[in-house]
Order: sequence, then C-alpha cells, then structure tokens
Amino acid sequence: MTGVLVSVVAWLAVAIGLIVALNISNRIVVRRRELQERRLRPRAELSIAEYLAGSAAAPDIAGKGERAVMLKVAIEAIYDLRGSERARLVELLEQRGFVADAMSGLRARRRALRLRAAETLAVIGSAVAVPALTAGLNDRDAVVRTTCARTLAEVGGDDVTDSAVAAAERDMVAAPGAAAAVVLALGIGRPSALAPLLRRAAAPEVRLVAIAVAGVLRLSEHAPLLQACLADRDDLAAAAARGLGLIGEVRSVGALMALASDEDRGPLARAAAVTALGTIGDLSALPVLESQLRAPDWSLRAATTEALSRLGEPGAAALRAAGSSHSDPGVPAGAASQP
Amino acid sequence: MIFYVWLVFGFFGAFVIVNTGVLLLAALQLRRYVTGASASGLRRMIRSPLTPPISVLVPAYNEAAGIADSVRSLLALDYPKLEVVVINDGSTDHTTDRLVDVFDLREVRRPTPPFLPHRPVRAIYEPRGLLRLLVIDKENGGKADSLNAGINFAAYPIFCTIDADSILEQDALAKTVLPFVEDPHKTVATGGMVRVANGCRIERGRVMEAHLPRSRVAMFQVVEYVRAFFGTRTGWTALNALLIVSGAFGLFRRDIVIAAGGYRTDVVGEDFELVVRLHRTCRDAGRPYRIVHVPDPVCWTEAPEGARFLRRQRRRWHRGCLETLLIHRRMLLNPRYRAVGLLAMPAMFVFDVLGPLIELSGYVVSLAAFLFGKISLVTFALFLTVSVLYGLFLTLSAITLEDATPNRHPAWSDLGRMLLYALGENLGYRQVMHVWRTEGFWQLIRKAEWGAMERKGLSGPEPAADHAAAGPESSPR
Repeated sequence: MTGVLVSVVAWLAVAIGLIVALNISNRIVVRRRELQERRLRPRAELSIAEYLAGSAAAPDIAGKGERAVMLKVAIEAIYDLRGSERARLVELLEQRGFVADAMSGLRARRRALRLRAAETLAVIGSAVAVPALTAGLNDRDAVVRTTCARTLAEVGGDDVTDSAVAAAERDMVAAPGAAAAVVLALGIGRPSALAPLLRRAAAPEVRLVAIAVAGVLRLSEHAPLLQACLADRDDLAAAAARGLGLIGEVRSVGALMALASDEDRGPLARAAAVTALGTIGDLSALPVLESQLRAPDWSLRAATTEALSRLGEPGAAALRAAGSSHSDPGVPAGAASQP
Repeated sequence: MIFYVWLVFGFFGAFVIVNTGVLLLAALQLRRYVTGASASGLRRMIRSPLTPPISVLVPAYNEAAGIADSVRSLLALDYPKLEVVVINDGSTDHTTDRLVDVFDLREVRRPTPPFLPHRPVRAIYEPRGLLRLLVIDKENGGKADSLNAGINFAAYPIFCTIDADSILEQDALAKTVLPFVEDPHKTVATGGMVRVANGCRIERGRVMEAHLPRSRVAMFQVVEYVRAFFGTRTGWTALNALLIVSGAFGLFRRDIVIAAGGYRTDVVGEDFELVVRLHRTCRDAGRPYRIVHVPDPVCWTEAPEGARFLRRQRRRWHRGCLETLLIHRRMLLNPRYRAVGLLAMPAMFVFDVLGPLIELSGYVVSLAAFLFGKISLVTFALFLTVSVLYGLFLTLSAITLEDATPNRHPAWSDLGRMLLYALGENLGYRQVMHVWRTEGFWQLIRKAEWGAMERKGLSGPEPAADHAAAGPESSPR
C-alpha cells in the first residue's frame, strides 16, 4: 500500500513539474512572438500604408516572422478597404507569395492548417486561387469545403457557381452555418444562382436558408418564388412571408392575406404573414388584419396589433375600435399606445 | 473503519479517473476551439445579415448606483443587432427612476405576453429615441421570476442573461453566439467564461485594466473559476453533457426555453436547473441539440471577498445543486439521457454533492484509523499528499489550458500568484469550502432564506448597499 502511494506521489510530482515547465515554456514562446510582432508591426503597417498610397514600391519582406506579421496586418486592413486600394493590396499579397502559400496550405494534412489557409484565401479573395479553391471543394472536412465554396461564390466566375451551390446543398446538414454563408455569398454575388435553391426540388434546410437570404438581401426578382413558398410547410412559409415583407412586394398581398386568414395553418406562418402585411403597408389588408384581432393565438393577435399600428390612421382607428369592443388585454394595450 | 478507509480510497480513485478524463476532453475541445476560431471569421459574422439578433436580459434589484453604466456598456457591445431588456424586480431604491432619467424613457402600454408566468408588471418604459432598450418594472419575485418576465417581452429569438453588475468584454456576445451561427438548429444554449473582476480597473462599466485581486479570498476564487471553466465545463461540452451555463452570462434559444417552461422560481440554482431541464426536454422530445461552453468570451463579475458572504454563497450553490439533482433524479443513470444521465449527473452527484461529505469524513476516519493503529502514519500522510497533489495537478492543468486562450493572465507575476494560490487552495481553502457546502444539506432541509451579497461595486466608489444583488452569482462548479 505504502509503495503504491509513494509511486503515485512520485508520478504526480513529475506530472506537476512537467505541467509547470510546459506552462512556462508556452509563455516564453508566446511572449517572444508578441515581442516580435510589437517590433515588426509598425514597419509592416507603414510599408503597407505607403504602398497603398502609391508613394512606395512593394515592400520587401524577409524572414518568416516578418511575413507572418505582414500577412496579419494585410488581412486586418483588407476588411476595411474597397475598390482599387483593395485590389492593390490583393495584388501585393499575390506578388509576395502569400496567396500561393495559402493555396499550398489547402493541401496540408492537418485540418487546422487547411482551415486557416481556406480562411486566409476567403479574406484575400484573390481570383488566382480559384483552381485551388475548386480542388478544396473535395476536402474531407465540411467547414474547409464550405469556406472554399463561399470564396468561390465571391470571387469565382459563372463556371464555378454550380459547384458552390452543390457544396451548399451537400453540407447544409454537416456544417449548416458555413453552408448558409455560401448561400449568402451567392445571394450577394450572383442572386440568380439562388433560384434553384428556392424551388421545391431543393432540400428544405437549404430552401429555408435561401428564403431567408432572398428576404434579408431584398432580392425582388425572387418574389414570385418566395410567394410560391407560402404554400409550403409553416417554417418555410413564415420565412417567405418575412422575406416578402422585407422586399415590400405589393403583388403578394393577396397571397399573404390568404395565409394570414387560413385557420388550417399554424400561428408561426400566420403571424409572419400578418407582420409582412403590416410592413408592406397596403390598406387592402385592413379587413383581414382586423379579423385577426380576434384570433385565439396570442402571438397572432400581438403581430396583428403591431401590423395595424404600421398602417397609419386607418390602422389606429381599427385598433381603437377593437379596444372599445374587446375585453382582450392585448388589443386595448396595443390600441392605447397609438397616438 | 478499514472498510470506510477503502471506500474513501475507491471514491478518490473514481474521482481521479473521471476528472482526468474530463480534463483530457477539455484539452481536445480547447484545441478544436482555438484552431477553429479566427478574428476574420468573427468580423465576417458580425457583418452578416444572417447573424441572429439577441435580447440581453438584465434582472436588477436595487442597482440604482451602477445600472446606467451597465446598460450603457451593454448597448455599446460589438454586436450588430441587440436589445437590452432591464427587469426591475421591485427594487426599493430608484433603479427605474435612474434609468428613466439617464435614457430619457417614457412609459408605454404593452400587452403582457402569456408565454411564461411571472409577478405582475407595474409599468413598461421605452426610450424616446432609437436606443434598443426596454425597461420592465415589475413586482418583486426574485431573479428567476424577472428572467421569465424578460423572456416574455424579449423581441428576439436568442436571449442572453447577465447580472446587472457584471461586465461583458466588447466581443463576448459575438463569440458566444458563434455556436448558434454555426449550427442554428441544434444549438440550444451557450455559456462563456466568467472571470473575477475584483482588482481590475473599471471605468463607466468597462474593464480598462485586468489585474488579479489583492484579496486572498478573491484570489482563491480566481483559481477555482479557471479550473471550473477550463478544466470542467470545456470538457463536459465535448460530450454534450454540460450541466451549468452561468446565470451571470449565458445565451439561450427563446422558443426552446419557453417550451421547457422557463425558469423555475421555487429552486435556488435556477440556472443549473434550467440547463438540466433543457437536456431533459430535448432528449424526451428526441430533438437533436447541443449545449456549448465557449472557453474564451469573458464576463467579469465581482466575487465575494468576505468569508461570511462566500460561505453563504457556497451553501446556496450546494443546496441548489442538490435540489436540482433531486428534481431530475429520474435522469440519473438513465441511458435515455446519454452522457448527461450516465456520466455528468452521477459525477456531479458523487463528486460535487457527496464529495465534500466523503472527503471530510475521510479525513476524520483516516485520522481515527491512524490513531487506533489501523493504518500507519506514513500511509495516512501519503494519502493526504496524493489528494493535495492531485488537486494541484487539476488546477495547474486548467491554468495551462487557460494559457492557450487570448484571455490568459499575461504577467509572469500573475502566473506566480496563480501557482501559489493553486497550492494554497488544496491546502486548506478546499477543505473549508467543503465544510460550508456540507452546510448546504442542512439548508435544503430548513429551506433557509436567500441572502444578498454585499458588493463593493464594480463601477466606482458607489455606496455598497446600493449594489446588493437579488440573485445567485454564477457557480464555478
């Protein structure tokens, strides 16, 4: 017994010693890196600023540490740059081999390195990287694949759109957030590419994201497809109704009124339709909205109150009238907040 | 007697196996987090129109002195779309008046949503301008009741709970919401790192300089928090068996919390109970889900510096822990609840709830066994040494894990102090905590009243009485 305990004490003492040593050595490494960055950063920032201002030639970069700091500074700067300045910085990164480094990083064995390379290429957004990014669509990691697809959607030509769409559809379950970012990039860069994702043939998870993207980006060209989604299951219909509201699609008012007053549908979809009607602000929806003030579901009544309050004086009058004729605490309170 | 000594040895062996396993999982999880996290990814998320809006719920009780600074700093967080909902829980000071004055609020009439029950609302205030702020003035009902009111009135699909006197780092909200962005359907709740603010320089609701506290009691809690957040919570996250998301800083999906029934007002550890109930509700419904601890975002909170308040806090936590485990006892060792029922809850029951009792009784029985000549002095001393060294090993490992994140304590002197207190924690502090936690058993029987913690205040030289907290602080279990 004593022998076992002595061994355990000895092992624990060794383990503790190793942990302390590991901690100290880690700190030394991190500290050295911080000092190096503190020393090199001002020069990197200055040379990039002078280069962007056009008053200097491309800065000379020597050594691994200097390259790492230069890349860090460039990536931070690139976010806030637009137009020719951005293009100039991207060109510099291409010339100095940073893009090539990241492209080769996409072939690394370690996931962390591939992920970092994909993220670097995504930030830089260089068209030179398109072949490597296309190859990255076959990566074994879903996040790496979708990061490549997002970048392709942003910087690639029409020929890579289908690949990006396919990547979004493939990874919507494995990496939903990253796949949603691909759909968003498609919506921003080439809105027409969203069309197949909005149709019934696409998986519901993908459609839900595509509908949300079409709505938040106010892609009016997809309004007919969004209107068609109103007939789908409740979560899709609700997202489509919200999107139509954001777009302000007056031609969908009839379909939204039908959804709002369809008692066979759930409150989620109906409340979204009511909210959309309020956002669009078409007074022809007034009778339908008034009728929803008597809906049994609280969320629907609350959404109706909010929608009516957006319809100006006619909506306010409807709320006042409802306030004087109902005992529902929700309606008078909404009416009372009206001017 | 010898049987009991062997029982204690067995308990210690199980403790070592489980905690070392959780520590290894924590290391793997942290590595995954550090390699996956990127500043550019965070910036992209903040700019994305798909990033979910958040309602920040701030329950407040007699917080007139610091509430304006807290709200101001929350409204200034780096997050694209958020609203702040302050729930004044029947304060007896001028909490609401202070907010009305500072933010130019006007009273509005709104229907009270019926989703969760809570004490009646007396008034609702909104700013005349464009600030996304809502103040709900309600009758006193406690922290859980206030949060239920806040959930009812929250406009957005995700809500964040934060104590009125806690301070969030600028990017804490953005980092904590990342799991919701990465997997919006599965993610139900996330929690971030909570750190001790005592000793930091704080101005107008922001931490300007992070320092370790001068108070010894607070220093011990710093070490405890590091071990709990890095060594324990991060590890359980890897198994999707995280049982605690701090009341001081956590994000939740509003619809799921409403479906689960919101916060219970009749328990002490309402934050712990809610998370366990979320596990139970999701598993019972067969819904794929995850509850995640993000080992990086920071919420600063004030730790008690006086022994009296620390003792009260620990008794409360222990009572809350036991209460929740009793409520959800059907989950214990139930394979239906996977790692939560088979590992996390039994581990919490054996090591956190019974642990203090077993360890303290182990000291007594071992001493008696030695005095009666059943075990030798060497064996007795060696066993004590092993228990202290293993505690030290766990704490130092957690400190090493913390060092892998950007939020580490940077100065060499900080590391030295942490190591010193890690040793001291296992040589007396832990044992005192065990005594106080054991008192929690007795409290559960007596159902003793809550006590307000005396706070020195984070926002400057304000009167201490005005900073009394209504609810429990976050547990670093």
